[in-house]
Amino acid sequence: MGASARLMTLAPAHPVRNMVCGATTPVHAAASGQRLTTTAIAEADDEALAIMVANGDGRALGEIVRRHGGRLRALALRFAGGAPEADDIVQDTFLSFWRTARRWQPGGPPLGAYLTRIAVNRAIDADRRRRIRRFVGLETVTEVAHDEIGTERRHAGKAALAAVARDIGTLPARQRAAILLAADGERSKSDIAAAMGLSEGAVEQLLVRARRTLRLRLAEREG
Amino acid sequence: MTINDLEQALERYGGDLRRWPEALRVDAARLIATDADAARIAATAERLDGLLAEAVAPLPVDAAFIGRIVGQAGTGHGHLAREAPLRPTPRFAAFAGAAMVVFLAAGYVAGLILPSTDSDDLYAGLMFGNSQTVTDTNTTSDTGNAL
Repeated sequence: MGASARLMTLAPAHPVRNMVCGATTPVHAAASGQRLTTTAIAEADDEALAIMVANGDGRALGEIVRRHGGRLRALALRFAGGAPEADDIVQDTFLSFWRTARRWQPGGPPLGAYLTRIAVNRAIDADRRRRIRRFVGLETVTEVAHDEIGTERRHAGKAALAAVARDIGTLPARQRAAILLAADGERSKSDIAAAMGLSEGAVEQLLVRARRTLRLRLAEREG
Repeated sequence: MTINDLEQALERYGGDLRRWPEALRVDAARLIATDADAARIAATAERLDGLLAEAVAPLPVDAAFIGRIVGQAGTGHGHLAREAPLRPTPRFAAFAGAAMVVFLAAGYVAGLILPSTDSDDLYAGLMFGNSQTVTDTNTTSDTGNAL
């Protein structure tokens, strides 16, 4: 089933006509291939934006980046430990979504969770490549042309946060991903398990180990 | 509840007692209220939760960042173009040196083990074809003429 047809079946029965002339909701408009105004795109929900991306609308991709990029950027930064690597992960995540947007199913995991799953997989892959390179004695040349560096410096001023960020960086990749996904307290274990492609039991084990390591290190520093 | 139980529950549910199962929360609160060590451990776990939440607070997404991604997508391939440059470290030099030594040693050992090629017949065979084959052909031909 094409993406347009897929979304048409999920569109509300009595949509409100307020986004574009002659169209109904952004989902209907996107599914029928109509071009939304910039305001309509900003007000469209993730579902409508996803179908627009599936139809090749770059403006919709930009809006999705604006909505979800900040969260993924923070996640990737804490996972990778460096702003350039984090930006690569985030860019790769959105470009992967651009190529495969038709695979996202409305009614399944929310778009944010879907993107998080892509980002986690990208981050773990990048971490694996980095470890192999480090093992054979190759390291990435750090580039210093990113505005995140300023953010990092501001964070570095907070010694406790910087220390915890370093501790997170020393955790095994899966523990790191699990604790970062759990860090904002908004995801359940099942959400994290879905994002990581693991069972809830496995996620719980990862979280227990990660919390124990981080708590003991924090207690050592502050004790 | 013992301190050990408290630690295990903190690792399982995190430092925010409001997210704990009711029964555990009551027991933990009682322990924390009466035991200084338990209170210290719980406070550390709660502080860790706060720091972790701060660590993943969303970063700003500016127009340039969005533009890079949309521009990359617009190129038609949608692949990440930039590959971070790599530079070798002393470990890489050590690996390369070790590999060279291993290959030299392997060559030396092969030279000792394999049979000598210091033979005129063999060189002739390599240059003009297999001398044994030539001889066999001549023999067959001679036999045919005789018959």
